[in-house]
Amino acid sequence: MQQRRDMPAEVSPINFHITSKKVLIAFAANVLIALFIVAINPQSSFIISLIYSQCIGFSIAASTVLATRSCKTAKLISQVFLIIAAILIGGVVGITLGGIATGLILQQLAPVVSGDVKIKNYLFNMLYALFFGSILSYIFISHQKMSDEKIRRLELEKNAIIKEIKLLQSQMEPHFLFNTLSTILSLIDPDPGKAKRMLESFTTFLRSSLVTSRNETIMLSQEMDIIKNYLDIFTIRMGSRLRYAIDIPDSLLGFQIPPLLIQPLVENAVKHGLEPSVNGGALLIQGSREADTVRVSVADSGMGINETSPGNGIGLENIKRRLSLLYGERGRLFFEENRPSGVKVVMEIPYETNTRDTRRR
Amino acid sequence: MRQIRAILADDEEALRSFLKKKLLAVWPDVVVCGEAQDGNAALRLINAERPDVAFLDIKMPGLSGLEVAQKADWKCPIVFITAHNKYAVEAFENEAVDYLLKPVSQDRLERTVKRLKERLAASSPLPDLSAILEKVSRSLKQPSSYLQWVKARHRDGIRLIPAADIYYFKSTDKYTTVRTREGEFLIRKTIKELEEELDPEQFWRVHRAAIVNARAIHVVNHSLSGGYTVKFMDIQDCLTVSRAFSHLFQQM
Repeated sequence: MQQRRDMPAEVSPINFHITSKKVLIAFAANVLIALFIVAINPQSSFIISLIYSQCIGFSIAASTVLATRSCKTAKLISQVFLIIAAILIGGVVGITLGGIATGLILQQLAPVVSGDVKIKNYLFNMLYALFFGSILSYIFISHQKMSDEKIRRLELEKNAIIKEIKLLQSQMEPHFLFNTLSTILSLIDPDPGKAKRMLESFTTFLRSSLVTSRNETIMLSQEMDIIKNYLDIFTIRMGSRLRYAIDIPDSLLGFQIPPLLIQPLVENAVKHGLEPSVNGGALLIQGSREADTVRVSVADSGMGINETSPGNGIGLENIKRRLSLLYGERGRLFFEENRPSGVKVVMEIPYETNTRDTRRR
Repeated sequence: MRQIRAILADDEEALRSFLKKKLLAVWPDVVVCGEAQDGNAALRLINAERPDVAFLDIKMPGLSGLEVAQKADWKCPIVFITAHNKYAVEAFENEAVDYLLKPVSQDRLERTVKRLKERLAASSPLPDLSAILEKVSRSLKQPSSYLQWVKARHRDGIRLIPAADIYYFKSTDKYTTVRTREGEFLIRKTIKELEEELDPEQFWRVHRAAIVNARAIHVVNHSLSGGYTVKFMDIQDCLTVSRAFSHLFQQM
């Protein structure tokens, strides 16, 4: 899978949200600008400067908001031009509005000035508008982008947590949970030793799936321990109807895999292959390595699959997606008929991605 | 006091003896006249023993408790047992069907027994549960009459290919080629047979000799001759839609 990288010229589109806090900040900034103008230009009136700065400030704000909303561009250069144009237009509109407002409100106060002074004032106002407008727009936009970035990050974190919860939920399928508790409860009086063993397996299973599901990868031996505990629970529940064996060569015990990648295959085999079968059957989990491929198979001698058996379960769909995300073409999952009965599901993953690649992700 | 004859069916021995013990404690008149550990045995037991009441676990190997109740010739009040089946529990609540949740609590069992006693004392005709059982039973199985798996000979074994993983079927001489992400497999079923067995919502016949999985289609292009060609996600293959089937894509 190709990772798309953000080129420097490509930035996220500007996405302005108007909040009362921002309006207040803009108002305060305009007051400060008016004060600043009066400070450097003592003969100008504060009231007039304030009216102008409010008109210009909010016009620029409005035109930048309108511009960014109507034109969602992801190119940095277009964004810069868009904002400059918005500031210019906002400035012109603001000065005009300021002129009208001061004329209306402060008819008596408005000093009579000559045409030359008017043009000079206009140019000064425009200069102030451009200067402060650019600074404030820059601050507002970068602040907005920062919070957008934060939202995106939170969104990613949320998704990761949801994924983890889903994974756990699939482990703690209610049917499995209540059936196990029910069996434990029924064993407490007649066979406390068995009840204790089952409770221990159950606790270990829950704890190890909880802890390991937070890791990026775990050792194959850890995954097999989870599976062993899971199957021990079923051995007590199903009695002689379930036999199982795990055969993983020592050389593969330290092999790193994402957690709970194989357990759902076992769960599936028990749920669809062995539990519904009157006589039950056997489960064999085998690992092997051929050149640069690790192969793990889960074979059951249960019900088998006929042509109209329910298709891929949700759990297996999930595994297929994880395999393809992690290993691309080289992660495979396929089903075979087991001999003399049942189903064998085979998972293949590349050997060399081990420890280096999978951990880094 | 007359004796109440009951049968218990659950695939777990521990659960059966637990329920038996509890049941005898709250209802001393009960005699458990038989126990079954799978659906088929439960069905035989009901018909042979003709009990006054039957406790049936829903999820059993062989037949489900619901199927046992449907198929039994002998009709008696039935208490279903389930660990967790939201659908069944809701349906049972609505239809006043007796049921117990695992793990079975003393309190709940007492209430169920009370109701059973009333039912037996009144000796009113049993309510007809066939409709509700049929409904819940169907929900358990989600049977599909369509082809979900394709079996293909591969090396010295038989591959089971989920229909959802198949891009298309194409006939080649005596065989039909099945294309998956992994490659091509050969099966003996003809395109005509496949068309009849596959879900027509998902699998479309686009050619005398080809069926495509509509969910795997990436793009459909107009060809110069006025027909269409179909391309798939992740693979390069391209199939022609023959004139007779081009109506499938006309709205696209």
